[in-house]
Amino acid sequence: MSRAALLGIALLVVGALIALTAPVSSSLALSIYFGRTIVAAHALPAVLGPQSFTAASSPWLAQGWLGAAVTSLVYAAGGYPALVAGNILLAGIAFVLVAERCRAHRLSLTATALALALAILASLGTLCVGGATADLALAAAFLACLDRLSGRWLWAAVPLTLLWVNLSTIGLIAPLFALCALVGALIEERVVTGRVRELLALTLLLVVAAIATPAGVNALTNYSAYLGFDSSGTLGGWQPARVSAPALFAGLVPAMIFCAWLGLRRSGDPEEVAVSLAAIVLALLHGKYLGIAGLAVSPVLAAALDRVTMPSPQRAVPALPSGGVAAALALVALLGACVSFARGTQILDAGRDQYAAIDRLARDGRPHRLLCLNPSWCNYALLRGAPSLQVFFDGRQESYPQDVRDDFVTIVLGRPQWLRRVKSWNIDTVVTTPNGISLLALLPQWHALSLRGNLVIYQRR
Amino acid sequence: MKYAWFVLAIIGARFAVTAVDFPAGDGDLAWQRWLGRTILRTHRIPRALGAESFAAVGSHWTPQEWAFGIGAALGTAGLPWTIFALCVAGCAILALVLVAYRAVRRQANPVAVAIVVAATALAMFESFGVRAQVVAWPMLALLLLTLDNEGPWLWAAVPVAALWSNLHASAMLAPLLAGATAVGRLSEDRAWTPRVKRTFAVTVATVLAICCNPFGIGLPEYALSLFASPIKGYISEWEPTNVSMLSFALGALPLLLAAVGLGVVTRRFRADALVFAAFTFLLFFAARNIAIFSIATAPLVAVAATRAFDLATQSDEPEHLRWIGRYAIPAFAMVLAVVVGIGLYRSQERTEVTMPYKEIAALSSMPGDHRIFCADFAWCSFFIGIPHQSVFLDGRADPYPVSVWKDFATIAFLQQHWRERLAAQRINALIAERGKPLDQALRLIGWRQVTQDKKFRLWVLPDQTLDSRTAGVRLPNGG
Repeated sequence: MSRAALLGIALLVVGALIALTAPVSSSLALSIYFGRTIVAAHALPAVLGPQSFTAASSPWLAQGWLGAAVTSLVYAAGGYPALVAGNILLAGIAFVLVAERCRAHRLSLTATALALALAILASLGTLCVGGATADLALAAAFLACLDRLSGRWLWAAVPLTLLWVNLSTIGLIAPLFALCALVGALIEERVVTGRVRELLALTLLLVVAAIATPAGVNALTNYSAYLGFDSSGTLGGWQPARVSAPALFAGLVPAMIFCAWLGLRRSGDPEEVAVSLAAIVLALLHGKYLGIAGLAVSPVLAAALDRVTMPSPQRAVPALPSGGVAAALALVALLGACVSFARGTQILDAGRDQYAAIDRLARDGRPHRLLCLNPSWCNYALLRGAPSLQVFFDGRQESYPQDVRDDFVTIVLGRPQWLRRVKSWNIDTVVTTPNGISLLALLPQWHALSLRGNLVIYQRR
Repeated sequence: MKYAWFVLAIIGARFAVTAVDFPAGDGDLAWQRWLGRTILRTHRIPRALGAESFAAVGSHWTPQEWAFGIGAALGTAGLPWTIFALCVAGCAILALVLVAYRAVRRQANPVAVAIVVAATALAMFESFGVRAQVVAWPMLALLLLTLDNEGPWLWAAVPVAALWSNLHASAMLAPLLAGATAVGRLSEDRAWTPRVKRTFAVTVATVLAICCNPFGIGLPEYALSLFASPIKGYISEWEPTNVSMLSFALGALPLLLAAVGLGVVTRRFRADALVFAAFTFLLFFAARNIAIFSIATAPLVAVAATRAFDLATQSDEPEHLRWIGRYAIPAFAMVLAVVVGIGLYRSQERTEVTMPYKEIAALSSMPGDHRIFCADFAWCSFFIGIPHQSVFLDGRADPYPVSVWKDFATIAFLQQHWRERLAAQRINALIAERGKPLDQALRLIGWRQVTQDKKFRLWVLPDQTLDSRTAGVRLPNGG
């Protein structure tokens, strides 16, 4: 067996192990609820609905509708093991595409191995089931399209973006990457060449593709609204990457150090350098882009490494047989599904105790106007569908009006007037941790009920 | 350096006015003045917390800022304060000058030098103040400059490290940087050449040099223990760096991106690779390292830009035009500095209330013994050394045991059992920020409000009394 094949197998095993141990995404319950609603009605929901007592008639910005529908269908067909298998397949596709880009650049085996290792490390934390693994695969495909050396696939970026933005809001970064490539091409060419014109046209087309979703232009405006950092950490907005994230500490920071040693410009492709720098900034702005940054930077870094250490052109790593790769991926995915089935993992594992608390409230037969300390806990109230439970705020943050978002932060952080907001919204039940919204414990009109898993339910007397 | 003069002038004016006339952003100066006064009075450096702190009496303390404390004590108010504050601002400016000089020595283009100096200055902004760590910045820049030498001047790193260790515990970096340089040179030469031998010898000497302070080996021990200490999680300066911090976003990040794009390491300077890697990890670990990352890496970025864009170096200037860079531009920059300084001096920001002075004065004048909790521990620094006032936790921060920090977080953030911890510590006075959950909670549990201003409120247990004659008292402790 060749060294390249051994490398491929080793990395597939590593990637599979990471994907096998991937946690359940906290947004999975919402995805399945959203998907089920779409599949059942054969239409997108127009409003948030009566399960929200703060914004029942607010329009539901159906972003990521296709991803939710696919997730719910896969879940309906094969349960949680099917989601695990899908997760492994998508992760595998992302890393295989990185290897393919390295091959297109005729990189050495060492450089390819470095690129794959960095891409995998930077994806730590992204590979959760029901999370952004699909975005990794789509980003890898998009970057391959944009890669000049990959050749003929530039225009495939348009339908790919169309698919991506309907699967997930993260697809909105596609026009940004194309714009960066355009800037890189301008820096390189210094005149308007055919390549520059191509990239300009592509960027414009991608902007159009990005708004070709049911949310339309609202998707872009909403995305830009979320560019304001969520310093309170309560709203699920942009959260800058911190070194406590393994993907930054073990992935992107070492990658940046290598890059600074070598200089990405030595890769010889200003377009890719510009895209890589944008991806780094994006990842530092919001930790959820760390995996995509790893995919963007690693092949460029590997190319720079080869240029510096081996100035003469190298023999490219031979292509792995596509059938073999597909078979290996399918095998690992099947193994992952079996392991998941044997373990009995469920979608509720993202917050078993919180969901138990919501189950308890649903069972007591009384109506509740519920506020959850973490909006994603309330997703389960939607999925469960108990008519007696109405939520203040849930994982559909972007669809809630600004005043509801502001009031949520005011209450959760105990800011001045928080109690007035609780009264005005007539909230009667709060699920929180003992350290969250602790002022409630001092109010005689509220009583606390301690639960397992370090949770408290406060109920108004 | 000719363009860098503009940047230095504007930033220098900003630092000088900020140091002398803007309100302090933390309470460290208060306890550092007390430390200095104690040293001057007793001719000894205290090595343990005393009765001024009821929660940790006898806890071991390494007051690394002792020299700074003496300076702060001597420059409490009036002209001595102005001189002291200007000296601290001068340290920051000196660090920038050394950054520029190091880049010029490495043949960087003047425009590139000016840009990296500006980025470094921006990286310093959020950390800047009349603070001990600012005094350490030129020490780092000077050490890196001396380490660039290969001849006898390399030995200058040893006294620099010794001096640094008397100013701040970050002197621990000196042997690490010297060691990185030695390893880098060994990798360049691949032989035991004289310069490699000399650099390794200097490394050993710097290890000894950082023990040339009143604490001896205690200083590096203290620095190492702090590196692994869980209390860092409670101190904002030790918060992991992220892009929402302006000093990072506007200062260090552009330098980092430029380095990533251009590449800062050449075959001739392999030692730079290790230095860059070390400072990049430090950068992401704590916000306080943003400035030192920039000081260390800015010259490398300037050189990389010069090389990558094939820019002219300083020495390429025609002879008959050199007077512009040498005299005209610095003179114009000085005029600019004065204009900027006056503009800053007239700004409204200077009158902003940043510390609970009114509450501190009121409590200090109240009869009885007080066991005080401050929602921001730095505020409690003003009570150090005042009779009958003992604090739970103050800006000295490091010597307090982890258990005290845990109780601090429990009470300050109303975590589970916070009332029990408040009672167990027998706290009878508390300063909180108005409207924050702790402030609201004290009202709900029946504490009595004594006084307040726009931002802060003083609470006491209901049985505490306020002497009404204390209205308008002067702030104690020289603040």
